[in-house]
Amino acid sequence: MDGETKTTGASPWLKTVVFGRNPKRTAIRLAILIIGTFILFKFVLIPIRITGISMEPTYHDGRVNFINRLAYRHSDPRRGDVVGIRYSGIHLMLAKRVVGLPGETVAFSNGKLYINGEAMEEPYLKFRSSWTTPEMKLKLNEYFVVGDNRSMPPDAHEHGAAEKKRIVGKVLL
Amino acid sequence: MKNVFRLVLLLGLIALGYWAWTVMFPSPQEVIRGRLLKMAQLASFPAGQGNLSRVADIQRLGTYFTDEIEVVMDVPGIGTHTFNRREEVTQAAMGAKSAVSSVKADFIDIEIDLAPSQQLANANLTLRATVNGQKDFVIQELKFSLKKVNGDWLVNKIQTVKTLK
Repeated sequence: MDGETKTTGASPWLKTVVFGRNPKRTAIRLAILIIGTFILFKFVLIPIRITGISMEPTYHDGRVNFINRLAYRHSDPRRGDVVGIRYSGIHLMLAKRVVGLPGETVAFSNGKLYINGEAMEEPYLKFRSSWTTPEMKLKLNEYFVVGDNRSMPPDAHEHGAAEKKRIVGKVLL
Repeated sequence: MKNVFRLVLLLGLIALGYWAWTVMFPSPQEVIRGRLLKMAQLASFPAGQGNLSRVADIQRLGTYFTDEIEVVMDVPGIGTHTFNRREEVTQAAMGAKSAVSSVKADFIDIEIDLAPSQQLANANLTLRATVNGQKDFVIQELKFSLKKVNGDWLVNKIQTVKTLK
């Protein structure tokens, strides 16, 4: 009888599939996977769901995306980046496109964006806009952010200067 | 294996002890957070709620304010409105409640800053409200100033915060 093994309950192949050949190692791998996933989605990539139409047609209502919190660790937001802007915390954020950089002057005239008085090309815009707004001079810690759907009236579309400390990260996809 | 079990048990007991301590002796931040969440609950009401119940909720909400409360609302498209004193604020809240059929208000990301004196505090939070059961949310960042009066944290000022300038 020495060296003979008896199995009871689940069949050995099922045990191998579920727990692996070495259950202890499988448990460690599982723990590392859970901790790694927690850290990734808590501190690096924040899952978000877009609500509203202000970023149409680039991002549709209800679409799931991620905010990369490390995107601006060693660099500053650039013109054209879509960023997450926090309210009092990160459980609710605005997703907007950066169009004006610190120190610049931003204005809209007949739907056209002007930076320091110069008209800018915005290839991501698909809808016609008739926005006309007064010039706004950005402070050295401010970025001008706006959505891509400027067919909406300006009053119904949240836009303006965001302090750098409010920018949580860059929209990933 | 026995030691691992003992370690897990010890960690579990420490966590349980810590939880029990925080429940029995909540920090001022936790007390303030709890009161703010209760205020959001009192400001909410379902469709079809009776008038008496609405009035009772507003009156209870009024007990969370100091007598000299000031509410400063600056909302794009609506303009700036200031309400002073508890009676005026509760009347405005009553008017707002009668103008809509239902409100579901939530305070999210409550950040509390306690003054060294432990008698004053500021709370920054985000209001997310659903009005009349609509799909779109009303989102507004708010700043609450609170002070301790006879052992209770009462709201002394509420003002809107501009997320984008």
